[in-house]
Amino acid sequence: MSAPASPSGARRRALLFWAFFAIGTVVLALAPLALNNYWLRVLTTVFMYATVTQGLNVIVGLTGYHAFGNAVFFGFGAYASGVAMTLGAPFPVALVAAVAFSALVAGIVGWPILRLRGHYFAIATVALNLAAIQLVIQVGGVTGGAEGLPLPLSDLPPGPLYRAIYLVMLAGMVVSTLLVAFILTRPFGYALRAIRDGERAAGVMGIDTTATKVAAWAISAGITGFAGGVWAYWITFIEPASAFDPAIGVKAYMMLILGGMGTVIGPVLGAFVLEFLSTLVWGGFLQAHQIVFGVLIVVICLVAPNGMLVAGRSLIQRWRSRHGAA
Amino acid sequence: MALLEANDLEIRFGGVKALAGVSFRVEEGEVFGVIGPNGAGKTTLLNAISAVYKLNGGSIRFAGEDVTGLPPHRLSRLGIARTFQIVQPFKAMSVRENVAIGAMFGHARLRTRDAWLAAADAALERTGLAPKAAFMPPQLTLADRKRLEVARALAMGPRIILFDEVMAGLNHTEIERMIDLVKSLKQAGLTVVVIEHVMKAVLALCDRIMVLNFGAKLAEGVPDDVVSDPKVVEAYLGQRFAKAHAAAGGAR
Repeated sequence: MSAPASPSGARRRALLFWAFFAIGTVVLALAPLALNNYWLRVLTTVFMYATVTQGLNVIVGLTGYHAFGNAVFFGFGAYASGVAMTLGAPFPVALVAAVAFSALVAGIVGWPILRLRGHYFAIATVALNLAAIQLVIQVGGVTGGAEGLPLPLSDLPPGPLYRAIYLVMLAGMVVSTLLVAFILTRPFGYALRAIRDGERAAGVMGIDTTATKVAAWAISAGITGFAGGVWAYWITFIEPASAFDPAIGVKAYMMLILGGMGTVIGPVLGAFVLEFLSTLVWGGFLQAHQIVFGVLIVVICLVAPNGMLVAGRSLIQRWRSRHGAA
Repeated sequence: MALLEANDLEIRFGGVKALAGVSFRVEEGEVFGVIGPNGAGKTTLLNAISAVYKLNGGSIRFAGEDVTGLPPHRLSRLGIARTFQIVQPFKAMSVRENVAIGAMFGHARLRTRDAWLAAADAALERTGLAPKAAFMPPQLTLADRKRLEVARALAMGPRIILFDEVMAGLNHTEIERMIDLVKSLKQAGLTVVVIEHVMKAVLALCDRIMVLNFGAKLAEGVPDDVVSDPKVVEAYLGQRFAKAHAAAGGAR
């Protein structure tokens, strides 16, 4: 535990951070001018996962409620935008529907199950994920049921379309990250962190814990639903098994742990590192990429159990104390 | 009029009655002590009042209003604050932020960031934690963490504070300081309920005492009457305390 940092030093660091963040955003926004289709797709995937992970960060990292099935909102977002577009809505309206519908589901389901503390909620989200697959299949009709749902094709030719989707995914990542940073400065953010560190104490200190948790989960769901909504338009054909794939949630969890729970930029870092690693491993070990990737994950968890940010910070501290600089 | 009035409070855990119909009144401005052996239901009583546990029976009135069944956050805004025996700081926030949370959410009137921080700083000053405002809770000693609990409760601007064994685990000097702190709260007009095993503190602080045993009220009254009550000596204090107390002249 280090001595408390001086306020001016903290401000300088924050300024530096946001300068990097702005430069990174601009560079990434201009990148499609130079990128080939392969790297465009890899980066779009990175942004998508970064957004999903940031959504997970709100409920898991900030609020301390594990939600193993949180990717269910990816599927709800995908289906909400898919159905909206099938019914004739333009893409932006479909995205609004994806966010709103996901947040609504979280609000309605969250009200009863977020009264549960700890592990029960985590398990309930998994059940919700499984139930959602059945629900889509049973409902049929506009959702396409088990046969899947083809989305209306865009008028844009593939090149500009993929660049547009790249930019929308990038916007999802940037805006969700800004949102998390903003939340952390507000009383709402303090309420979430208080619930994470001691829910009973938070309650007797005046925080309406149930309402706060439900709001957090709805925000988490909205962010996740956004990613799902864009994804549906990107791949143009969705089916229950791929839209509600639990592997999406598992991957987001790994990215969150890798990057650092409850941090602003951790989910983005985690998504970049893990997705690039998995792409590189895939290219380098065509036969055994799953095994190599799995071993890498285990190593990362051993070396940096609290995420790269914390590991990096303690490395810097160790280096500084060894070299005598304050 | 009593500030806090509890009638027939009942809490059951399965078949066990942790509280079997306890009634008491706390008058405005007094220090009310609750003592009794381990497992007598003292902390359960506190949890019942602060709505951490749901009542299985009985009712609670605060400042003349029925507050039975209100959730914890509503009670806090009405002016009921409490501390936890097992301290529960928000460990990822600085001491100052921990206290500011109380002002931010538990205070009925404060609305701005400046007001929250001012209330937090005042509470830190009052509890002697001001020099450690920038510390993180894991860096604090136990005595300071107990003070942090008190500071968080104070920042809420309460009318009554319920202390759950704030002296437990402290050494003599620290107990003296905590006694002075609670006394200063009473002087400032706060109403205080203390659950305590440290009899020195109970006798130094309390205007009236209630003794719990097996979830029921065993005795109630001014300290000197209660500690010489044979039932209380039998159930809780023991003969050694009774003799020592009598030898010390009873009324101190």
